[in-house]
Order: sequence, then C-alpha cells, then structure tokens
Amino acid sequence: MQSTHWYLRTRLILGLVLLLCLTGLMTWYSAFEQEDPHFPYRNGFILLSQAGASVDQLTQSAVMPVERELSQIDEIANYSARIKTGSASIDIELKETVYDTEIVWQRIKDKLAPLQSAMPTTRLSVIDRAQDTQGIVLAVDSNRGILADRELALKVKDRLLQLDSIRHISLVGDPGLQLAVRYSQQRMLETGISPLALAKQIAQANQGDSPALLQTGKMLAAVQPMERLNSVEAVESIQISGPQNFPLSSLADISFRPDPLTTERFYLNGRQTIGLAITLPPNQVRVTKFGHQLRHEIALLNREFAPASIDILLFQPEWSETRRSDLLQSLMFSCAAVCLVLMALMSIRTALVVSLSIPAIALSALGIFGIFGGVIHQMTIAGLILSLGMMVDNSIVTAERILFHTESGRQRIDACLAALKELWRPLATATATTIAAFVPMLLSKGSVADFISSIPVLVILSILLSYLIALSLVPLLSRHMIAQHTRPSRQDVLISTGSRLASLALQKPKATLFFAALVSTLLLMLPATQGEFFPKTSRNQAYVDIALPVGSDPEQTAQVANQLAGQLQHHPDIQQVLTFTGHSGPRFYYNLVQQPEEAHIARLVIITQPHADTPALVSKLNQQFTDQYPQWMLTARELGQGPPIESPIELRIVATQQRDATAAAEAIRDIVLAHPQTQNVRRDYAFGSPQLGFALNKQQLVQSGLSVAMVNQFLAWRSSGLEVTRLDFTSLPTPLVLTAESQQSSAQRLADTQLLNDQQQLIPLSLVADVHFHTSLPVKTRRNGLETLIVRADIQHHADEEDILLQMLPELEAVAQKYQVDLQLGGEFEESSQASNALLTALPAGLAILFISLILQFNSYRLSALVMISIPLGMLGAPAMLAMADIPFGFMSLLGLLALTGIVVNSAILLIESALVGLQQGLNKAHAITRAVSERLRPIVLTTITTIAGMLPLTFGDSPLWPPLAWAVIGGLISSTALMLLVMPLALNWLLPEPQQSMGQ
Amino acid sequence: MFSKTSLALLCLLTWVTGCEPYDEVLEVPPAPLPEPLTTVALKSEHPLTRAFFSRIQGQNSIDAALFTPGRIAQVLVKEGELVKQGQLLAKLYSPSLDSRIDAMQAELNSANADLNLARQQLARQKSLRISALNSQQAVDDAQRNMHVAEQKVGQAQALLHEAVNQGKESLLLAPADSIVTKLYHRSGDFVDAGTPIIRLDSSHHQKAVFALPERDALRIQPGQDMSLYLPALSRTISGRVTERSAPQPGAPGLFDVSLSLEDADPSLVGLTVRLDLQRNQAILYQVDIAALRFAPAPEGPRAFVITEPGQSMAVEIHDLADSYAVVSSASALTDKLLITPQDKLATNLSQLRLDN
Repeated sequence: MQSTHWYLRTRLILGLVLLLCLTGLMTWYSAFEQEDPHFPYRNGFILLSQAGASVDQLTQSAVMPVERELSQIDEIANYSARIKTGSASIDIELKETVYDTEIVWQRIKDKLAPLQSAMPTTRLSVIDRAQDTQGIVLAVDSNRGILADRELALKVKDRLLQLDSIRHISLVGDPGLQLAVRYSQQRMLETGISPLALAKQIAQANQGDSPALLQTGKMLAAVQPMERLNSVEAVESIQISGPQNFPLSSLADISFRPDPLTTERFYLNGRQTIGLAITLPPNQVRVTKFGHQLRHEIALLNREFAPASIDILLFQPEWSETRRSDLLQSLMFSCAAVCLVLMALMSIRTALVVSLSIPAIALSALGIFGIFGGVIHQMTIAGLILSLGMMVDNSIVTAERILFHTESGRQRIDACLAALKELWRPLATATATTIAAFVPMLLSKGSVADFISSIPVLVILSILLSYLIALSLVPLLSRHMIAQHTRPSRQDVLISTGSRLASLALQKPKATLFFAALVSTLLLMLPATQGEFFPKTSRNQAYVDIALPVGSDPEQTAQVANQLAGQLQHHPDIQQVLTFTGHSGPRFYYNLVQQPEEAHIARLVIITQPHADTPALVSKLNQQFTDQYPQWMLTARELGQGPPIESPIELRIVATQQRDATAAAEAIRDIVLAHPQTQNVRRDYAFGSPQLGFALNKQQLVQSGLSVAMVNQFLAWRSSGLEVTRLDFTSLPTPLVLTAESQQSSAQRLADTQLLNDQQQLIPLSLVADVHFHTSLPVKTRRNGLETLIVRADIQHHADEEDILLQMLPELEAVAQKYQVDLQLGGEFEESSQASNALLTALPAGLAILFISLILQFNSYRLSALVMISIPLGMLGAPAMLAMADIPFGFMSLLGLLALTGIVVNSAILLIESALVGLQQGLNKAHAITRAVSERLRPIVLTTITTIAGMLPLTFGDSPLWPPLAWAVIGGLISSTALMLLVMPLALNWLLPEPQQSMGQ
Repeated sequence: MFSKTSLALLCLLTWVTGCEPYDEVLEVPPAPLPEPLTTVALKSEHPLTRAFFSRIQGQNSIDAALFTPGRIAQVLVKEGELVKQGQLLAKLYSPSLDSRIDAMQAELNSANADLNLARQQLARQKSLRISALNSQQAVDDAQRNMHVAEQKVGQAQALLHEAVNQGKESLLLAPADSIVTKLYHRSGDFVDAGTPIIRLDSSHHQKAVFALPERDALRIQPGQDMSLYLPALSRTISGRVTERSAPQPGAPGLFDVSLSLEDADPSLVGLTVRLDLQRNQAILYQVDIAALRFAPAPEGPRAFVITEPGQSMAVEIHDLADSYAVVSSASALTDKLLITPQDKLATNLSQLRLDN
C-alpha cells in the first residue's frame, strides 16, 4: 500500500528542492555580476607612430609590412588602417567563431615583433583589450591649474589601484608635463650662444651615471652621481660656458608647462581638467558591491586632499544596479501576475501549489547556473523572465490534471499517480521540444550569440527543472494541499465552450477554414513600424559628435566644442556636459565608437536630468544643430545597443586607381545626398591639408658648416621644443625641452629662424632651406590591404536603412560599374545581416531537432507536421502585435520569434496526445477530438495566459530592449492559440485514422 | 449564432487593422540648405617678409693700439663715451722711454757744449791767424772740429726728437670723432706693441652689415633705401645700401650688404637690428582657415575657396597662423568667401573645375 517510489518520498523531494533553492539564493548574493555580458576580445588595434613622417612614407615603411603579416593570420576577419601624418592605427577584427582570443593576439604580437626591430624609428604597439569599457569616469580638480590637477590625478590613481578589483586606470585629457627652458632667438642673437650648445651642456649635466664605486674591505660606498638634475634649482644653476660663464637661469626662463603637442583634452564647465577612467575586469567582479567600495574610497580621498575635489561623473555600477533592480521588479510583477491569473482561473489551492513551484524552479535554475560559474547580468535576468512563462506550464498541466482526477472522485494519491502516468511522456516531449528550440541558440557562435548566450542556458535549465519539479514537487504539494472534494463550477464553462468550439469546427469545416484564412490575411496586412534593428538603451545619457575638417588645430576644436558645451549647459533638460576634444573620450559604454588622438574631432557627453525624455532631446538637438550651427558638422546621438557602428550607412569604395576611386566616391556621395531620408552625409576621406615643407639646399648646407640634424634641431627649438633630456625627479619621467617660445606662432616665424654654426657664424634659414606650403593628403584609409574611400551617412528617425540602401543600390552599382571599382556595404546593414544570420542559422537547426523529437513522440510524419503548423501560425501574430504596439521589428523581436517556436508547439502536442488517447479508448474520431479540445481547453488557456502574464511586465519597463521581445512572444502566442483551436480539430479530423472497431473498453 | 459571433469578430478585427494609421513612407522633404556662412578676405597689410638680423656698428671701427709695449698708466675714457678727434684716451707708463729722453737730452746738452767749445776754439784760432801766431793747419783743424760738433748736435737733436716722439707714443689719442665701444684693457694691464686697447666706432655715421643669401642680395641695389627695425627699442629707422660684397668660394653663399643709417645716433651701436625683405610681389589676403578647401587635381591636391556667388577659385597658401591663412590668388578676392563645411555642400569635388 505505502508506495516507496522515489517520487512519493516527501522528505527526499522537499530536501532536494530546498537545497537547490538555497544554492540559488547564494548565487544571487555572491556570484559575479555586471551590467552587460562580456564578449571575447575580438576587436583590437595596432598603433604605429613615427613623428613627422608623411602619409605616404608611413604607409610604405610601416603600414604595408604590418598588413602583409596580418594577412597571413587566418583568424583575422578584416583589418582596416587609418594613416595620418606621423601616426597610423590598424583596427583588427577577428572572426566571429574565434573564442580563444588570447592565443590569436599572442600570435599577432609574435609576428610583429621582428618588424619592430626592422623599423627602428617607428614605434609599434598592439592593444588587444580595446573592448574593455571604462565605465567609471572621475574628474580631479585641485583648483590650482591643470598641472597641479595632473599631479593629484597621478596620486589618486596610485591610491585607487590598491583596490583589487580594478584592472586599469588611465588619465583622460592628460596634458603631459614638460620642463620648458625658454631661450628666445633674440637672446641667441644677443649672446651668440647657440641653442644646440645649450642643449649639449644641459644633457651633460644629467648623465646620472655613478662613475666610481668605493670598495674597502668592509664597506661599499657609491659615489653620488654629481651629474644628475634632481630639482628645478639644479636645472637653473647649470653653468653654461661661453664667452663668459652664466648660470642657465640668467639666459633662459625655466618653468613647467603642459606638452603643446597633446591633442586629447578634457573640459568641464569650460575649464580644462583631468579625468580618471577606470576599467574593471569583466566576469570577475560584483559590480554593485565594488561600486559602493569605490564611493567610500573616493569619499576618503576627498577628505584627505581637502580643498581639491574628486568628483564622480559617470558611474556604471549605478546602471548595473538600476538594470538589475528594474528586471527584478519585472520578475516580481511577472510572478505576481502569473499567480493572480492562476487564482482567477483555477482553484485557490491549486494556484497556490503552482505558485510555490515558481520560486522553486527559478532559484534552482539560478543555483545550477551559479555553480557552473555563470555571471549575472541583463541577459541572465532576461532569460529568467523569458522562462518564467514557460516553466509554469508543466506545473499547471500536472496540477490541473491532478485536480481533474480529484474532481472526478478519485483519492488524492491515486489522482497524482494517474496524472503522472498520463502526463510524463507528453510533458517530456513538450519539454524536449522547447529545449530543442533553444539548443541551436546556445551552440551558435559570434558576437550576437555571445550577447544572448545566457538566455538559452537559463531557459533550458529552468525548463528541465520545471519538468522534474512538475513531476515531483507538484504532486507532493497537491497531495497535501488540495481539498478532497471540489466544486466543479468553472470547469463547466470552459469544458462546454471547448466542446462547442470543436463540434462547430468539425461541422462547418469550410467556414472555419475560410475564417482562419481571413484572419491570417488581415494580420499580415498590418503595416509594420519602421525603425532600427538594434534598439537604443535608456540611460539618461546622450552624446554629440563634432567633426571639423581633417587637419584642424586641436585648439580650434577645443574652442568650438567649449562654445557648444556652454550653450548646451543652459538647456533645462541637461544636467551636465562633459567635453572631450581631440579624441572621442573614454569608452564608458560598450557601444561607443572610439577614435583616439584625432585633433579634429570632439565629443560632448550629455547627462540629462533624471526624468527628461532623452530621445526627444536628441532629435530636437539635431534639428537645432542644422538650424543654428551650420558651420560645424554636429550629430547628437543616443546610446544604442549592439556592436559599435560609426554610422548606419557606410559605403566603402575599393579601387586600384586613385583617380577612379575618387570620382566614384564623389558620385556615390551625390547619390546618397540625393536620397530624401539620409542626413549628415559625410566623407571619411580628405583631399588635402596644408603642410609646411622644407626643401634643403645640400650644397649651401655643407658650405655653411651645418648638417640636416642641426637644422632639424633648430627648427624643433623654434617650434614645439627640442627635447634635451629626461628628468626623473617628478612623479613620472618628464622631458626637459628647449624652446624659443613666443606669443604668436606661424610658419613665417619658423622660416625666419637664424642658425648658428660651429664657427659662430649666423646663417639665415632661407640660405639652406626653401620653406613653402604644399597641399598633401592628411589621411588615408585602407581595408584588408587595399586603399579604400568611405562615404558615411545617418538616417532620419524612423527610417529603415535597409530600405534606403536597397532603393539606392541600382544607382550605386551603376557607378561602381562605370568606374570599375568595388563597392562594399557596411554600417548597420552589415552588422544587422551578421546578427540576423547568426540567429536565423539557428532556426532551421532548431526546427529539425524539434521535428525529430516529435517523431519520437508520435511516430507519425503527419502528426509531427501538424504540430509544426502551429509555428507559422504563431509567426503571424508577432509582427501584427508589434505593429499594434508601434514597435519596430528588430533584433530582440527575432529573438522572441525563436523563443516562440518552442512554446507554441506545447499546446498542439497536448491536444493531439489527448485525441490519440481518446481514440485508444474506443471513441470515434469526432468524439475523441471534441473531448480532447474540451478537456485541454483549460490547461491550454491557462498556460497561454500565464505566459502572457509573465511577459507583460516586460512591456512597460524602462529599458527599450525588452518590449519588442515581449510583444513578439505575446502576439505569437495569442495568434497561435486562437488559430490553432480553430484549425486543429479539422486537421486532426483529416489526419487521424479511424479507430479500430475491435478496441476494448 | 455562428454567423453573428463570427461576424462580430470579423468586424472587430477589421476595425483594429483598418484604424491603424497607415504610415506613409516618410517623404520628408530634404532640409533646406542653411544660409551660407561667409567670411571676408582681408587684404593683407603686411607683405610676407623674410627677416635677417645684424648688429649696428659705426661706419668705421678701429681697434686703437700703440707701437710700444708698456703698462697702461691711466685710461681716461669710459665705455660708451663720445670722444673728439685728438682727445687723450689713455696713457702708457714706460719708464725706459722717459729715461731715454733724459739721456738724449743730456747727449744734446753735451753735444751743444762741445759745439760751443768748438766755436770758441775756432774764433781763437782765427784771431791768432790774423796775428800770424799759428799755422793755417790749426785754423783748419778748428774749423773741422766745429763742423763735427755741429753735426753731433744735429745728431743729438735727432735722437732727442726720436725719444720725444717715442714718448709721445705712450699717449693714445682719438683719431676721429667716435664713440668708445669697448675697452679691451684697463689701467694696470700690460700690453704688447700693437695690442688693441680701445675699440672706437665712428660717431658720425653708423651702419649695419647683413649676410644675405644670393636670391635676396641680388634684389638689393646700392643706393636703395630700406627700413630697419630695432626689436629692443621697437623702433624703425631707415638706411641706405652702400656696399655689397660677394661670397668667397668655399664659404657659405652669403653676400654681405652694408646699409648706412640715415640718422646718426651713436647710442644705437651694438643693438640688434632686423631687416625685413619682401618675399614675393603677389597681393596677399588674410582669410579664415575655415574658408580653405581642397580638391583633387591631376597634378596633386589644390587648395581653393568658394566665393559667395558660387565661384571656386584656386589659391596658394603662403602662411598659416592659429586662425587665419595668408593666401594669394590669380584674381582678386573681393567677394565674400563661404565657410560652410565642405561636407554640407553638394559639390562633387572630383568634377570641380577650378578657376585658375
């Protein structure tokens, strides 16, 4: 009598479930967590710098050898080079299928190492962790000028590095430090002392070697190096020998100054300041906890360095916390909604039983996830929410069946056993098919797959666990909690509705089919909302990109940026503006495109008031820019999701003949400009910028007793400064620079340089060099080893770049044909097609696995095909729902469709199974079908409504990431369930064989 | 009943789908091009120049020295002092010279004494001859003695003269009106014969000698008036070209061009002076850097500007400062120039024909 089956052992089951729940709780409170998932380091770049080299020179001597090495590494998908005067950067993108990125980067470094020794004048560095985000940005203000800020920033950096969760801290807008010895040309003419002589003597004063070591029997003493500059006073008192001996301070003014050649700057409220950008190692930190720790540490530092202040400007841990709590809230709402629905449609006790299984399943899934090293981020919680609606299904079906049997009069234990016996196979199939839909998503590779990889993991875990718990915990709870007798009040309605529906369908097959077809057509006709593929994020941050013509002065860029920032600051919706000039600022968000060291660009990061409408502000700003600031190229943008894309429309023109490429690029630009929905069309190439050239007259040079090196040194002295030696008494090694600085700098002044040769003769520069301006190419772009020109454009709000491109494509191809160039489409088109491909390649595989599991269940092609019909019926509903909710179909909706494939089949399976059972019991076809529909209507309706209720809280959250997913699933479920209930009876009638007469009772 | 409910559902669905605002394909008209932004090309006041530097010196400059060695007893002038011609500048202490004068004076005195004696003897002999008390030979001897004595006096006088002249050489006198530019030696210093003691620059006229490359030197003709600038005083003065030398083979190719200052001002001696030579004759304009654009051309990229009426004119860049460029153009830049960024204009740059 007393069954000793394992699934009836109360204590065992309860114990196991509690253990798993505890593990889940522990995971929640101790696993690593961050805001977004981490991608493998598939993007990096190589920096080459050779001061003063022209674009062509640098291409030939440095870039092309590097490109040749890179082309031999297969894991590299593409590499694009951007070559400017004096420096070049090569962006490398590894293939989507590469996961072992450390090895590949090591190989790249090994291949490039011999090149470095072959190019002594060029500096080469490989940056492979370029994808790290610098989520925390601090501003350091000592109120004593930019150099004092820098000093303080270095101290703060050293202190903060003591915290062990920090990977890296870098200075933002570092002005550099130099000790400038100002020795003007006028002085040189007066004293007759050449700056080169000064430089030599200063350098000699900083030798720093200890010449002797005294070693007696017992003692070792080092002779203090006397030739070392260890303070500014030491520099000032260097004796300069000439006609008379002077100390250096009487000939020149000595003071610290920022490096005039630095392009990157950071301004706050119009004043130049320094920032610290902090990088945290991904997948290794509890970001929220670290955030509190950091705030505490910064408060301590603020107190210690009292009049100075260290302010937090951007703080990603805060966003992690917000996201998590938002999603947690949605999770709670979903749970509550599901419970409410259950209580409305089932008896309270059954509803309670099912409700108790929800946290059991969720926490167990989380626990197992944590044991295997999962990291909690947005996608993890999204996976939990997505699986919420699905995990309840098994429990509902089991509980409902137990209830049914109980209401039919059986004992509770018998009811449980009967339900288990009936349901374990169909539920297994349903579970397996749902899992099958998600397995390909789990197995696919690429950035998109990496981004969403937590979702299938959690879904599969929870569904698996839900099956186990539905078969163990639910009967257990039901046995002890539901009453022996019940009032069969509600069920009548549903059962009668079910049987009526089924009989109607069977009696009027043609009308039903016609009706179904009509509804489907109507759904298809709903117009879709246009929009971008990757949704935006919902932070209160936006940014404005400013681009001046290539070759602009960093000072000018700073002026423009500060002017604009000052005006934006007055806007009521804007709280603060951070101005980064000469670069695109720290990478505080993973989606931002980074452009370091570009003198002509600037980025203003706007922090809006907490409840301001950021998207509206961004479009208003863009409108304002076109009207009020037509002299600058300005674009305001929100923070988006997905891979960083410089512009939605990117057209690359590759050609062998430069002339053809230029003509083609200009023609293509005309076409893009002419399209009404494009805006901000810009060239990513430039034709020229003025450069100063010195043509040397070698003969005169020799006769004058000068050399090219001497001329170079004089010119350096008269422009940005001649580096003489390095001082090590400051916190970082500081160059000592000899300069003839004066108020106004122009090429003319440089051309008036007077050179002093070793015979003390004054030689004007114009004797040995011809100074002239010529126009040369300031920048060149190459891609995969070929010269490429790029045309970029943004699109208007609510426009679809795929449509725009397809509309322009015939003309574009005609141009490409005419000039014999190769046209490539990049931008969002390339990324979204990559993303779609990644997801859609998952789809057929999923369908195949699904089909196979169905065959295993039903052993019939026809029935399996019948189940699969519910999938397209479901796909109809998703776009329709999105259209009604005014949301564009994008990446997340695609994800929702994939999730749908696993969900919609469950109802079909249950129906067919029930019909088959009916047939087996000897009913005729019509009767079996009707009974199946009527019996299964309640669980089907329940599971559908609970899944919808589980998804609903996602539709009104703050983040724009989840509504497309939620609406797609909701819409698909509704349409699939509704249409299936109409179509399924007919199809079953058509496909099922007539029952055999000899079947016993 | 079927028809009623299904009809109702149908109507509902149609209403739902039909009432959706049918989003037209957004045919937003392209935003009108904003008002073109313009700047004015200012005719550059300052022609482009090349600067050369030199020091102002006197028209002539002498390093005054003495024939004899000695120790400077006294220097009577200070550096920077104006002296007249013949003014005593310094005295040399030379004891040997003084004693030599005394010696020669003594010699002269003794020669004179000998001469007197010889004259007396002659007179005596002559008087004795008249009395036929002596021979003719005696008279002739006396005559001869007197001649010798005279010659000895002459010699002694000449030697004295020489000694006195040498004595005079211990005094340094100014050869012309000048300014004392440098005292090489001061009282107490020992100088050799010919060692310069004082540098004098003529105060009447000053000049500056510039070492110019041939391209610039050839454009300067002797007699030409040019203006010079003194950076220390921020003053402009004018000078006239007096000489132009050619460089030696093997030496740097610099021509020494001397400019004589028009107004004599001895206080300027030693100051640095700057000569600005105009580089080219083209009319130069100062334009905002934002007005410069670049277009591809078969012979290399060209710089150009766009005028308000819409003309694209090629320009040549001569100078670049922080916010402006100095350019020249084939035709006059009288119209306003656009500073709208090139990416906002619809020009196809590869088809652009520049007005040269």
